[in-house]
Amino acid sequence: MTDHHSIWAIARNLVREIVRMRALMFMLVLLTASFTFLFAWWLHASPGRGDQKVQTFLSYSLSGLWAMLSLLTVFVGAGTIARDIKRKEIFTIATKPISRSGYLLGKFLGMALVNLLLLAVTSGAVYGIARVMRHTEPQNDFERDRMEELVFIARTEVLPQIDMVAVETEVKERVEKLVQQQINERPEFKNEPENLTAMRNSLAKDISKQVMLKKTAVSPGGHIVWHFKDVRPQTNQGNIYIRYKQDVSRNTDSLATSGKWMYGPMENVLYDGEPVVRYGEVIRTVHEFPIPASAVSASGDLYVSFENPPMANEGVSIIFPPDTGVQVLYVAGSFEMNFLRTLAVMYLRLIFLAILAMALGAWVSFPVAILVILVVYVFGIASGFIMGSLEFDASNTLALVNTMIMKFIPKLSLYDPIPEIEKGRLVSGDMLVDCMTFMVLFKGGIVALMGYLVFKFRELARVIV
Amino acid sequence: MTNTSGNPVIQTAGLTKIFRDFWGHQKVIAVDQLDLEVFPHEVFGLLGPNGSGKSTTIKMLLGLLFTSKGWAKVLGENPGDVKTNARIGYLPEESYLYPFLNARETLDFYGRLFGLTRHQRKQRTDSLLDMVGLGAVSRRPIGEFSKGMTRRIGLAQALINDPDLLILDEPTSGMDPIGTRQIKDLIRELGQRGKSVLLCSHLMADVEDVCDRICILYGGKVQSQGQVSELLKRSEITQINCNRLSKQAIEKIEGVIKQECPNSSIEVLNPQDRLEDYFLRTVEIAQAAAIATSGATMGAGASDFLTSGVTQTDDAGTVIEQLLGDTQKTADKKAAQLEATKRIEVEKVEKADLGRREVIDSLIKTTEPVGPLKSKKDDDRTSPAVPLEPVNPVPSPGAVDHSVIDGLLSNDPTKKKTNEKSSHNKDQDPSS
Repeated sequence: MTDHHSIWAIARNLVREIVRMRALMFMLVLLTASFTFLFAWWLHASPGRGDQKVQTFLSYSLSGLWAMLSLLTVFVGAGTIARDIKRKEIFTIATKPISRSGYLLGKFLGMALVNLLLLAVTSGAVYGIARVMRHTEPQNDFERDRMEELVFIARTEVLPQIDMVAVETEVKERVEKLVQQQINERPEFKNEPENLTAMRNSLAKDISKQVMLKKTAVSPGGHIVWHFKDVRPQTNQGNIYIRYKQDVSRNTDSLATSGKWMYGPMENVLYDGEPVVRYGEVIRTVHEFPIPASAVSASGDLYVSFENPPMANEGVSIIFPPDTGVQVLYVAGSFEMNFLRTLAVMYLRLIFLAILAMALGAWVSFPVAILVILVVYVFGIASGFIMGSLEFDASNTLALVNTMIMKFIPKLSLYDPIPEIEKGRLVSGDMLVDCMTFMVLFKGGIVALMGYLVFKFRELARVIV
Repeated sequence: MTNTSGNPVIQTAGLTKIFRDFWGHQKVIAVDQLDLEVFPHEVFGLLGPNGSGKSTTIKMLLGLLFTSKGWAKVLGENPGDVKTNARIGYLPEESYLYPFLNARETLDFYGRLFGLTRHQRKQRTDSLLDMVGLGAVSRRPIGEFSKGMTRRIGLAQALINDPDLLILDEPTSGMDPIGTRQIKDLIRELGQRGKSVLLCSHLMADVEDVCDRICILYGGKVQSQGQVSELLKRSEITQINCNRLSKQAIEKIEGVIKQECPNSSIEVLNPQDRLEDYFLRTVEIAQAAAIATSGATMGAGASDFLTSGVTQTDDAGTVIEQLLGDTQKTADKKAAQLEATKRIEVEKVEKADLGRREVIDSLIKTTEPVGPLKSKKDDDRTSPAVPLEPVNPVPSPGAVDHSVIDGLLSNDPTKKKTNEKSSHNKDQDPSS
């Protein structure tokens, strides 16, 4: 007898169970209405720019729905198996022709189906409302254009190439020079390899920051050239965008800077390109200006230069921070496809939570399962911050252990598509594939395997004598 | 006599279950060195007081608990084998069903687990709901069912796959007398049709009424095991059942007995009906008068599911064979209702006439007025809709022995003839 009838029966039953949780369904409807219709209505009645309202709506509603569905997944996923065992309904199921793996798979399928259904319905409401807002919220053509250019679009970014080999070489040379100086001053230092290693790590971190800043800083009268590779706009007829944020070595009176930008092939940048002059741009704020897409070469190369006029900026150096300093943005897809990719990533995250919840539900009691999942969830959301903190003192053994543990925590913050779609950025296929591969298949697979083994070899009945 | 040849459907050897605490220390031995064999076509009872290890044994046989020592085979396979589970029906000590499903959905769900087709599921669901008397409340969520109704639907789910082996843990727990009787009738029928039934209960009457063999557990160990008829037989006492006798006939019989056994005590009693039977007749009459109820009704008997539901259509040869045809069944139902009405009337007349009676109607065993065989016969008498063949072909202690009566009345040819006829009639119609 094939097992798929039984698996489907279990899945179908779970869907039915969830749908019949009347209080839960009522809350879902209420929250969905709150996150979508009511919030959109409130935004409509509030002052503000149309593009910002839509951005706020997308961010808030999708985040709210994600939180709602993830909590539903965690509670129902952990509860359904744990409750079957606690209430002994498992007795009448495990004694039927269905394997334990089939039972788990059926429960998982049911949960996946419910998530798919709820995500489709709720996100459909979000998409529909966003489409309506696209027409109702812009007050003028400017807002309408901004909305189309910044929100209802899928742009991707390219960062400039940095010769990291040269950076590392310079860092290494300077670190060794300083270490040698230290050894010369205190010869006994040579016999303390642990201290030497700690010192090298500390120096390397500081010096590499210095070197990177030096490479992105433009002194008065100087200029800098960035090379962007693999810039692939959909067409060379429209515009692409230079996006940047500036800092200064010393605050100017106006807290603003001016500069001359050039773009195109290398020779344009260096010799006879058409400059774009930008005046009075507030520091530490993101700015953006369009350039023709035709400036990109057929091979996808683009050069951009910035000149710090000696007399314009009160003689201060202008710094472009290494991570967010300068980017090239170009249109890489439609809003609709981007929205679908966003939903796909959200769905994969829900799938991982379902796997985790069910594996724990098959192992421990419901309250314990919930506690563990919430810990994992919080660590997963804050994984970026925690990993950054641990890297701060990477030489510490405890930090290394914690880093190893954190590697097993799903990086929910890394695979978060909502900030991307809010800004009109492309939710990349790479994010989708990585999320599927590392979070769902790899980590989810390990968790599922552990849950299955525990469930297979556990007694389903309790001690009654 | 139960056929104990062939491969056992359940076999255990040295089966032991030790429960341990968190640290692995032995806490209790729930089942200790249990050797058990249940054969095909046998209704086997597992008896014992609370905590004697009955349910633990069943859970080990089903793979819900793992054995600590020894081994068990169910239908020739290890407990919990997925393929073997397709041939097992299991009713736990409580039904443990999903409260959000209604009765019909519940049976459909379990039917799906067995991979039954939509047609099969529908047919069997309808038949089983009729059988357990829940057809009228099939759309009500199980969470709103009483315990007895839940047990009924639990039993139905155990039968949805037409199991070869039925394992019932306290099947009549929480059931009303109607349900109890129906379950007992059903178990007997299943046994007659070649099913193997393992019944676990601490209700002696239930087990006594339906089981061929029993095993009594105490402290996880087997205390006694064997044929019910053999275990309960009291060969030092003779019991004679016959139709109403005149005072003179009784005096003659007593005289003969005193001659044969001068020191024997003689007790002549009117047989008393059992409360269960009286209750069932009352409900039958109420049902015949179509009095409304929001609960379970009298089920249609196992034949509903087993005949029209499965055997005649899609599962011929694999499902339990047809007990009765539809026509016969309908006629029997009507006859049962008529019979019940008549009996009430007869009882009224008999009670009024009781003071004037000069003779004691029958001879009843002195020490146990309600003996094991009597209950079985009584069961048959009150279930005319399902004329069962004897479960156990061996003459039971309470059966009418014509030769004894013949011998006692041999000096009165007229009486002899009358009594022969009466005995013959009784055999033909146990309800007379």
